[in-house]
Amino acid sequence: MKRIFAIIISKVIMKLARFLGHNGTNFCGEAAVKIYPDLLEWFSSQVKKGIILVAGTNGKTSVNNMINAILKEAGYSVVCNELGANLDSGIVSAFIGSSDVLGNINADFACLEIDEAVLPKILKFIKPDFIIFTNIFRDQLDRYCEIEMILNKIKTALKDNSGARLIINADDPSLVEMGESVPNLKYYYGMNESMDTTDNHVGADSKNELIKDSIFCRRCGNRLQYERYYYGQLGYYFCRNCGFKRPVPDFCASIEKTPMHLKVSGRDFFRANIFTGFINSYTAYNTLAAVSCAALLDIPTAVIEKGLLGYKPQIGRMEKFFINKPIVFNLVKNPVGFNETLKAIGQDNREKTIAIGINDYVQDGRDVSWLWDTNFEILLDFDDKIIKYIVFGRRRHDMALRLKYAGIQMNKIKLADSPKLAVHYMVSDRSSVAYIFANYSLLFETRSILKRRSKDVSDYHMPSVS
Amino acid sequence: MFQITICHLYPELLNLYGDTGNITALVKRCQWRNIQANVVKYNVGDHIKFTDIDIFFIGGGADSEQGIASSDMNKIKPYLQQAVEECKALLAICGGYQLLGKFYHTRQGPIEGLGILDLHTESGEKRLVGNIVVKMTAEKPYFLVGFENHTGRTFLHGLKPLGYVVSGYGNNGIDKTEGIRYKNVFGTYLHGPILPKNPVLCDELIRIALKNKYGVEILSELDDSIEEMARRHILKSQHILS
Ligand SMILES: [Zn+2]
Repeated sequence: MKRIFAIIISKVIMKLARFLGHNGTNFCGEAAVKIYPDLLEWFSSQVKKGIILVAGTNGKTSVNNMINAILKEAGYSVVCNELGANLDSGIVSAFIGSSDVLGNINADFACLEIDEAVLPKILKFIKPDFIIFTNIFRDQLDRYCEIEMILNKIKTALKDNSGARLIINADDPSLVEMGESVPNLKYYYGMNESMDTTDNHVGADSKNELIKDSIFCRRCGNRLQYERYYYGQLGYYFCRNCGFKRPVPDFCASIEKTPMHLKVSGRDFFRANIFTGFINSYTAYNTLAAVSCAALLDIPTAVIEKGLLGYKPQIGRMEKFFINKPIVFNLVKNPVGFNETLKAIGQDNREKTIAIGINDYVQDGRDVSWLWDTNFEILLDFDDKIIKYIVFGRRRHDMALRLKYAGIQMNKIKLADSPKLAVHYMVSDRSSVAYIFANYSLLFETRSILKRRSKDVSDYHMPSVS
Repeated sequence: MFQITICHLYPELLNLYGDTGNITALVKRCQWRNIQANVVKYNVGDHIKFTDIDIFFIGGGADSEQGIASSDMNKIKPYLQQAVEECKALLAICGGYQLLGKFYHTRQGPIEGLGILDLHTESGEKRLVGNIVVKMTAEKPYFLVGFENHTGRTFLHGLKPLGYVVSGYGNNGIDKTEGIRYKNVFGTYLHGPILPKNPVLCDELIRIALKNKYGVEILSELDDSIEEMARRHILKSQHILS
């Protein structure tokens, strides 16, 4: 009875929230869990074929939605928190959204992205068949403290979930160490060769130095050596002291040119060629993770390839608009993601305007020090092609300050009091393309302004960077 | 042309919360005044000439990394101690600040500090997180603004704090003190990073370095209008400015 009450209440809240134009799907789940804490257990026990969780700092929304697209292509019914509400309440909401009032769902699979800090709690209620780990970078530390603590909590939680098979990014030493210290069955995926879009040399000079959160061996504390280095802490690493090293992946991929596609090969003679348009280091990892999972679920190659063709990135991920000029809109949330985005726009030779919006609400992280961990010095390499830098959001002054200390001339930096004004400045200067970045709480407002003013462009998205 | 050398201690280990931005601020504010600033990095096992250094900087890190740093630090302790006694400038943030003290009582037991500063730290229950404003007690009053994020509670044994908390927690959340000022050592819990947003403190470190090395005390003025605006946002949000 309590269960039915909880579901009805939250269904009403969900309708109400949509009516009022709210996008946060965490809220109604929160209400439901308060009334009936066992709701997650009830729902997840009804999933017929398998539960897949996706965790990690960057890329989880993309990976999760790619798997969703593949499973749907294969004809399965799937419960998925596709909008990226990834706290426990968001996961409850996803189930409630596809249940009837009695709480019955009809799902073959559940694929759910989970905030890595919430994963230990979720594992008490849900017994997943697979958990995919994308990467662990610093993200919103003032909410969740340090990475180390999160990894330890996940390790503990996995010990009671030894049935869950782990799909782990082999190129990430923190994740691999975590995997090695739990008894679960593990599959690894990793990139096969050097990727163009990344700095490929170890010990880059200070200007291009990237954050390497865990360049120290998590087993013995010695410094890790890199035979090949991608970004963050990702690459071919090994420890001279204790022998810890990148495991041989079960699935690996390389980016092929002309026409651009991702070539995946794996265990049991698995081969696939994924054509999704533009591929960078980010999309390559995301796609590889999704394909590995699908292959382990025995989905036929042709279905995987076709499913990914139909995959559309979620909003605010390199989304395209047109107001006087082409505009590319992207969510930014942490240094590693922001660095990769900055590098990517450096490859666009057109004269451009760059707008950056930074807020400091709880969902953004109240601490904006991550702007100083982001390598805005990358911009100096193509500053001559940038007409103007526009900063907006509550922390626009901090952003302007960061650009100043990166070495950008102050007369190129313009402060905008609102997203609306930022868009106005951006579309009225003489550049031929504009890039606009915003963190989470600015995402929806900024996007709706862009959408309202945008000339009808085709529904084309560039693949996700986040 | 004046020339100063800044030493970044353990940049590979102690590099949380954008604190490398402090080095950037020091270098830029020197360059804008035509002072040449060299940065020397000291990582575990390195050998550098400590007597050549004018400004030392040490940041904070995760527990395990702080442990690695602290065991190496004992090797360079004599050099650091000498620098401190010679009134060299040293800025220590969060974990680096704690390491300069006598000991740190963690739940797993005490960690020996360097003992350069007469203070100690205990680990607390609640994490002290949020924007912070501190009134600096030095020569002229100045509001330091930043962000704090620490579980450690630091207690000064009669030493002078860097300032008093106007909004936030500070050293321990109890006695309203924040950080430490001993000779030319500045210890603090302010991340953010502290120097770009508090140019007066940044310039103070540069001034000390120039005074030690060249006997020069006057720094040319810079345009700090954007710094002021960023500061004002915090001061307003903490209801110190309207
Ligand atoms: Zn090792």
